[in-house]
Amino acid sequence: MGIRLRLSRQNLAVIEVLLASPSRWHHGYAISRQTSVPSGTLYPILMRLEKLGWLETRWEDAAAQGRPPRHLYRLTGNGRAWAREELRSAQQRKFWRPAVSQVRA
Amino acid sequence: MTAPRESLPIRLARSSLKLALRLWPAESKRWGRALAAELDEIETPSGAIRWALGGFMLFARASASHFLAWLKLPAGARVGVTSLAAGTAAPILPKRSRLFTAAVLIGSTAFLFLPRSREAVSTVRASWHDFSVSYGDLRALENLGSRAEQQNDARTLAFASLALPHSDQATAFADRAVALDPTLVWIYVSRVGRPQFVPPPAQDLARLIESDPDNAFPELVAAHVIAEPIQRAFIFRDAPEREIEAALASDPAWLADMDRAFRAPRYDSYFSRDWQLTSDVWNRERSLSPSIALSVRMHHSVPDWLSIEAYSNLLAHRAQETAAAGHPKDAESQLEQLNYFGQRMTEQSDTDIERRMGLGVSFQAENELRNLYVNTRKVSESAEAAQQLEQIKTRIRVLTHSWLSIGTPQFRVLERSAIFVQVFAVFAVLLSLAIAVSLLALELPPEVRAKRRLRLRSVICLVVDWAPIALLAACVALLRAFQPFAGVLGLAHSIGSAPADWQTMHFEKLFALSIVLSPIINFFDPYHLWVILTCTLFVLLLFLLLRGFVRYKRA
Repeated sequence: MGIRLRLSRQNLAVIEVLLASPSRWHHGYAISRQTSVPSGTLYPILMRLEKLGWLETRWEDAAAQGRPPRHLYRLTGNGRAWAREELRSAQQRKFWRPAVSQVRA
Repeated sequence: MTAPRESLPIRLARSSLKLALRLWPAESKRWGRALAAELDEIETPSGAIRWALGGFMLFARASASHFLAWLKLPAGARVGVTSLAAGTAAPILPKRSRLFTAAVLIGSTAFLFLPRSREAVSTVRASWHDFSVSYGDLRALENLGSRAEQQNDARTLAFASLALPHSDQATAFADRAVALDPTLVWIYVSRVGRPQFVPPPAQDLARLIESDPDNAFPELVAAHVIAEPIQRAFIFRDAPEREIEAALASDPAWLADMDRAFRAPRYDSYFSRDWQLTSDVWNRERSLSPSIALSVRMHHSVPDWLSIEAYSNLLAHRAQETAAAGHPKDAESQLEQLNYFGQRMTEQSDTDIERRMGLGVSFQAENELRNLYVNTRKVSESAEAAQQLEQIKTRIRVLTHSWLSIGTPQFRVLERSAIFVQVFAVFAVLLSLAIAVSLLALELPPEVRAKRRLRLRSVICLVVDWAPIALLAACVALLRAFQPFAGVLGLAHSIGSAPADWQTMHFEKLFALSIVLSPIINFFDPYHLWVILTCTLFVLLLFLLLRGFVRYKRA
């Protein structure tokens, strides 16, 4: 595909949040708040995850009145498998310590 | 109930993100919209500002990556357009990327900005205007003069006043220069004849005559000021020369000026001072076009030949009358006076044209002297005068020969080089135009599908692919072909006080650049038109014959 994801701590924090409740759709601002990753860094990560095919996106069905619809994100099946593997590997290397929740096997 | 009013930072964040969204590249715009949509969830003003700043970072990244992707595509291709509507053919595009085209064009431009290239470009451009001072040169001179005015630089002010055409500003520069340095008073008469005679202010001319009393030239200019309207009136009436001479001879002021000029012990038309001044400023201000320096030679004032000839005829006639009245000694003395003036002008002039005038006066004086000696039976004096006449004739012949064959072999070589310089320069200009038009045609108009247009588009793509490389090659070739002329300019820069002939010889070579253009400039000249039409018809006939032959072979 030609796109590689550099696994920084910010990347790992984002995928950890997405993996914490993998079937649920997440909002960008919520991810940013949970991970403390600023918007200028968060969105490039999400864009790359999507390009790799590991992130599903969709627009909110019913937006609140007067507000634009929000964008929603969750990991794909492949994305979940990859994310688990990467988090485990990072934990083994002691590069990463889980913060949000226990990563499910 | 009204909605709570948003704080200023939040409104600022929202409107700035809205603005960014308008400019957001299409392929990533939904991410911008996604980021902007989250702004409503943020309650604190500082959080909203931080979120918007992140949005701007994302916008900058998206724009940069869009620009890079755009550069990697060929001209006319759009970023993110991967699929085509059903039934539409893929547009014909150039093979080379925009990045390649831009790099070659930037390379060519950078090449043209090298000091030597700039000199070549400005010289070729000046040759296209027949080395006359262009609008750009005028602006440069005005700026130079204004700067010199602020710095109280009298010599640069004098240079600007001399190089500029007659105008209030040129006069103001001249006045300021002379006020700063009174020895520069000669600038008032140095170029009075450019391009037509403009009399210098009477008080300035009087100052010059006062400050340079032994010089014949200011007196000749003063006589020209009187003679010019008289000559113009008679020339309009197509009157014979004798009538003009009679009219001038009846003007006592003109007679007094000419008498003082012919008796003056020195002749200096200020060419050397003018050149020295030009050389100083030209060497300091390297960006000045060669045409400005050339204008020194082109517009250098020479005395009014009609006045000199009229006064010479008058003196010769007086001498004849004196001799006829039985006073040959007095007649001889009058003719000697005439001869001395001719000799002074010949020996003390800096330019060939003035030297030729001096020889003309001497020839007339010696001829009259010979006739006088023959009539008074002074054999040895008559033989000596005849010998002098032969010498003068030889000098005139040599002078004329040098004009007609200026450095013949070298000049011819330079003429050949000039053809290459002009061809490459014209080629570079045409290529630049073709590239500009082709790039515009590819980037601006909507998709064209007509068959004829497709063929045109193929040509445009070919131009975009190859013309930048050809342009770079043309620029390199232009500089290579310009080398001999760069040598000429280098020599001209290094001349400080060499004789005018030498300067003239070198500058004449530069004029070869202009000479080769004459067939193009004289396009509508009947002979050239006939040649061009004949050649065009011949090429057309050849093309038709070849096409017919190819079709016959295919059949």
